[in-house]
Amino acid sequence: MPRPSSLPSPIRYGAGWASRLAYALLLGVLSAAAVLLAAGADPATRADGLRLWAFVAAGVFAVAPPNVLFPDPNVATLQRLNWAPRRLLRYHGRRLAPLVLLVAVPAVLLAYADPGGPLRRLGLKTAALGQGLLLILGAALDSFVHFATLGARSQAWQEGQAGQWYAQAVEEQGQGVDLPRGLVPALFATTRCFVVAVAAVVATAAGAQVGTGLLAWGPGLLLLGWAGARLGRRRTAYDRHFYHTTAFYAEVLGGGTVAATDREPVPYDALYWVPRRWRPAAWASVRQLDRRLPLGRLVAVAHLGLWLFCIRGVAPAVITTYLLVIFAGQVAAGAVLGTPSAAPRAFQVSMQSVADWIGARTFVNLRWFGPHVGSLALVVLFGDTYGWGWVGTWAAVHLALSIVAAAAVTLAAEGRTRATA
Amino acid sequence: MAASLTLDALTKRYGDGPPVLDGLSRSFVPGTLTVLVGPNGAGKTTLLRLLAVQAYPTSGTVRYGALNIHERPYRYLQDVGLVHAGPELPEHLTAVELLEWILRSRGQWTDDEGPARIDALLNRLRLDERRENLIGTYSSGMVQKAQIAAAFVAEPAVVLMDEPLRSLDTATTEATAKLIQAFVEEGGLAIVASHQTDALTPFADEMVRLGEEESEASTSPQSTRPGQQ
Repeated sequence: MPRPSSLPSPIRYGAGWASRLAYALLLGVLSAAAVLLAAGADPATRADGLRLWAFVAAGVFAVAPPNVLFPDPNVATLQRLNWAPRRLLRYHGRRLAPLVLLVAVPAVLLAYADPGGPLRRLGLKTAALGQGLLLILGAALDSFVHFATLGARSQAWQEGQAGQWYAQAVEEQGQGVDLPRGLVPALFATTRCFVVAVAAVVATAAGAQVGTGLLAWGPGLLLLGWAGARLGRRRTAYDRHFYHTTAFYAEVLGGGTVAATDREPVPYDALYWVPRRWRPAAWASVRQLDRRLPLGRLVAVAHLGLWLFCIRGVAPAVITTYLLVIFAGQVAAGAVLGTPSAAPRAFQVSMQSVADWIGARTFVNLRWFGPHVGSLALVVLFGDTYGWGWVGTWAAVHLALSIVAAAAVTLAAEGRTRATA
Repeated sequence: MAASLTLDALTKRYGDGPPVLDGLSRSFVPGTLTVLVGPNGAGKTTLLRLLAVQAYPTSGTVRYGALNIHERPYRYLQDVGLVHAGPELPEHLTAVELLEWILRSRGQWTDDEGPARIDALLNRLRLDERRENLIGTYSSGMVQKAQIAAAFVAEPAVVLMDEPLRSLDTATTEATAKLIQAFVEEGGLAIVASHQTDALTPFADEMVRLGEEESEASTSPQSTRPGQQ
């Protein structure tokens, strides 16, 4: 009879201790913000807050899953082990779990954090949490199913077998996004997942206004059920979806067959504001980052959301949470630069020291410092809620986050090389 | 028991560039070793990635017996051992642990025979007592030995190997060649891409040259395999 395996788990669901620390910090910040926001609030306000949080979750799950899941770093090992389709599905689910927790834990705190009366009106708080979690989990599952099974369509676009209308429009009108064509379906999927999840949030809010419980629960249940049914249909053939989507992302984003983009790469001189010592590494890093993520567009969309919130007169605590998420998300995107495909370790440490990599990556993270501050300045100029001290505080927060994130990514990548050398 | 691998009008392009493989049709039959040769960029690795289900074709199919390998990868990979081009092994396992894990995952582990099977294979590949050290501490040659062992340990019917002899010392090169030879003689289907063909040509059944006439594969059958002359 086989003895139980005592083997360690060599599958890398996440990176090293530095990435785990960064994750814990982000979760801590979000949880603390949730507790501060929820303290003393009545159940109706908590329900509103949870729906607002579900709105943020819709954005997170519309963007993050493909970046978290693909290309899979363990595909060679998984092939050797040849896990069954359902086990591959569970594996993928576990890889997405930290992201779901990052959104779900603050939601639980938004519902229950109540130092003045933790057990007061527990039923209403639980109902609000249930509705919020249905929306969050529904958005997560809907996005997961959509992105995890996108490989065949993406490859068809990449190879010109589909999306001819788009290619024709780009050719005739000179318009289009600066992405490899195969990533355009993923971009559309981002919009589609966001719209579907936001529609569910809006429908839930409308249902709550009407006052019948069923209408407030319905949209979340429908979204989760619909996504679950689609996943159920695909689970027996999940090996095909897993390998096809992984193969596509490996082709486009790494693995030596990276497709060229028609996007104009950032010129070296455009980074004149980076100290000369770190400029070459920062330039190479920014070029790689631009080819992996449309970060500029995401930052722009995030600030449009900020202006919308400010125009609507949303509470300062919500704005604080929102800005923390934007800034933390922007600097966390730099983790892409610590992956083996972007930072082959031996090569990296031969180029410059660990301290210099921290410096270079800090400036990569600070690339959006100007637009961030400019956006906040517009809020100050066109409103009377915030002052220049507020802008200065957030500038300092962004600077600190940039340094911390750069250090975390570098210690997880180049730092680990030193430790094992 | 291995089945044939049949390529039918297999085409692969990256993006909208020219095809790396264009309408390739051929069969690889059990009990044969096929060596893929050709200049850099000829499509050897692309073909192996397609056969390993690490890439999907632009058009055409690959069948293993009656099975479309890109439709049913899990079923197909049950019969396949792989040596990848890069050293893609978990760094925080020893070679012995890696092989045990593969055997357990594929349902082939027994407490009685498992350790002996692993030892015999690693002995054959001359991976010394450092087999109990973490793979992350290995030299490139030792990683390659661990990769080869990982491909063979589950006794596959098909092995797909991308530059398996790279970084190996002379003695291990010979040992690996003999391992492949024995595998083929027992009815296995082996496809190997390699620039180091000297060790393999004596018993290769076929040399497939890629990249020579606009990606058309040309073949030069080898009849020097012992017992087949």
